[in-house]
Amino acid sequence: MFSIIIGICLAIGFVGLYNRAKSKNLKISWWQWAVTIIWLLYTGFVLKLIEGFIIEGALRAALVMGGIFGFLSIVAAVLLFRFVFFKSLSHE
Amino acid sequence: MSKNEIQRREFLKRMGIGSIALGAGLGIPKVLAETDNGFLVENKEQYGMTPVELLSGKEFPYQIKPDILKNMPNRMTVFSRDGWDPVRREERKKVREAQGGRSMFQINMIDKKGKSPNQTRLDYALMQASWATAHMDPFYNWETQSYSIKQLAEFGKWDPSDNDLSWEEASVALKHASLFYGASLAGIAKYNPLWVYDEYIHAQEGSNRKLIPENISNVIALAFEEDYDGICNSPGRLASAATGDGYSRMAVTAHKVAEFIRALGYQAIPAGNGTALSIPIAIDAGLGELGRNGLLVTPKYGPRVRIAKVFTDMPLVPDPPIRFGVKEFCDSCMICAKDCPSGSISVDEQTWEGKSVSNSNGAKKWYIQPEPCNDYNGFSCSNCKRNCPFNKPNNSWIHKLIRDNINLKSKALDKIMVKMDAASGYGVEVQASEFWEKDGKASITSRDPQA
Ligand code: SF4
Ligand code: SF4
Repeated sequence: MFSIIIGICLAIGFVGLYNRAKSKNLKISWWQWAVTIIWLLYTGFVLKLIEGFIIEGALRAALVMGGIFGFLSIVAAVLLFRFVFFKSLSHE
Repeated sequence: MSKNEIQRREFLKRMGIGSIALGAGLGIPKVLAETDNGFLVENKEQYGMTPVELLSGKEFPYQIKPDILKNMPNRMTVFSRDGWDPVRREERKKVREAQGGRSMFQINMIDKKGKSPNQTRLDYALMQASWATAHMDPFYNWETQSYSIKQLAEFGKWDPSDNDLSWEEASVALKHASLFYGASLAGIAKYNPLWVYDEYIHAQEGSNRKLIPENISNVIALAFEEDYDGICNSPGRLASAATGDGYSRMAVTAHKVAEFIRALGYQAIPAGNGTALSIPIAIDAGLGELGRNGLLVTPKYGPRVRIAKVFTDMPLVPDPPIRFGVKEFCDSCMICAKDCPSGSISVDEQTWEGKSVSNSNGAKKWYIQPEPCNDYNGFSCSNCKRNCPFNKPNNSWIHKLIRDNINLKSKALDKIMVKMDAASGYGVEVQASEFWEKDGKASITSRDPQA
């Protein structure tokens, strides 16, 4: 069930980014899309990881591993948004 | 023909299995790759999805020096020495004196009125009752006492071909029966008289007690998972409860397996810790590898198992020994050695001989110091099971991912994983009060069978 929710969220996220790129006429190359997809999949993996630890009752593991891998996902998100999807902010 | 099919055929040929349909559950493992010494395989039932290298040749996951390796005298084990060795009596006396002349039981049940955390009357009750069938001698009888078993045995030695089975299939049937009777893992090893205790039960000659008969050809090694939450309470009483429960199940199951074999007309000698060294037999039978903590580390349960064995003259087909990176991981890990409260676990390189007269020398391994271990906490603890990174509550995809990495045998990666494991809080002592708050649905006999 949780996997389905994650899948739906990631799909919505991807469609949202795609629409933004289209509406703002952003020029996004194939490799930037590839990085975006990898980031989305990675974020899904982190969420599944946290879920797995919680199901196991390993709350500290959920916190620590979720923290480490989640932090990396957030850093990747900031870079991705700053340099790909919101790069034109200053020109808008 | 696909690469997979070739590998499968080659696998069956090299493992001596032949093109037979093995029984469900203990079926042919999924072959992942061919290696220099055998095959890399997966088999959820036996290995919990840890990728394991089956050693198909004459390779074993340990090295021995025949000039040093001798039968271990049973009277030299630390448990036996506690009974006769004046050195041990003196050491035990000192431990008792350090406790004000009181036993752990007296301290916890009388002085502290059964109220000290992890040592309450409830915890003690679980522990004492868990040993209920552990030391019942009839379970380890060398002959059957049952009329109905004798009646079946009188038909003579069973020939599997009478039931359209080969000996390979009969071996699977025997392991199936072992799991049916309550073992968590079962494997078959060729009988090696070197592992039999000397000066107690001699392998072939010069016995001062019973002899293992010369026609004995194989040993069935049985491993019994211990309760995860119980072991996590170590050094609390609930860990001893998990241990005692393992011993009790060992006795009952080994007895039933022996009776099953006897009913088929063959000889069967069940044993718990006695008669022979359990760990080398379990390694020979492909149940796991030896860890730094001196324990059998299995792919599915880590070191959280107890071992029983059944010697037999039934011409079974032995299982290949396995390797899954324990030695390499232990090289980088050291968690058990650093956390051992009695300093009994080696932090050095492997050696051929140990420092204690109670060590069984001649294999290259980490020798533990059995005396301080046995003296700690009344009768040792389970910390080195609790905190071992191979000990996990289940075989979920997360732990599988880690085990896949362990198989890469990369020192750097192993070190990172050790750090992450410790940071994640695995292996820390869980309070008995937390254990009792749970509903028991995660206990070994009632949890999700897929876990
Ligand atoms: S059982 Fe306890 S005392 Fe003995 S070696 Fe393991 S951690 Fe150390
Ligand atoms: S705790 Fe670490 S060093 Fe000790 S047996 Fe387990 S893996 Fe090996």
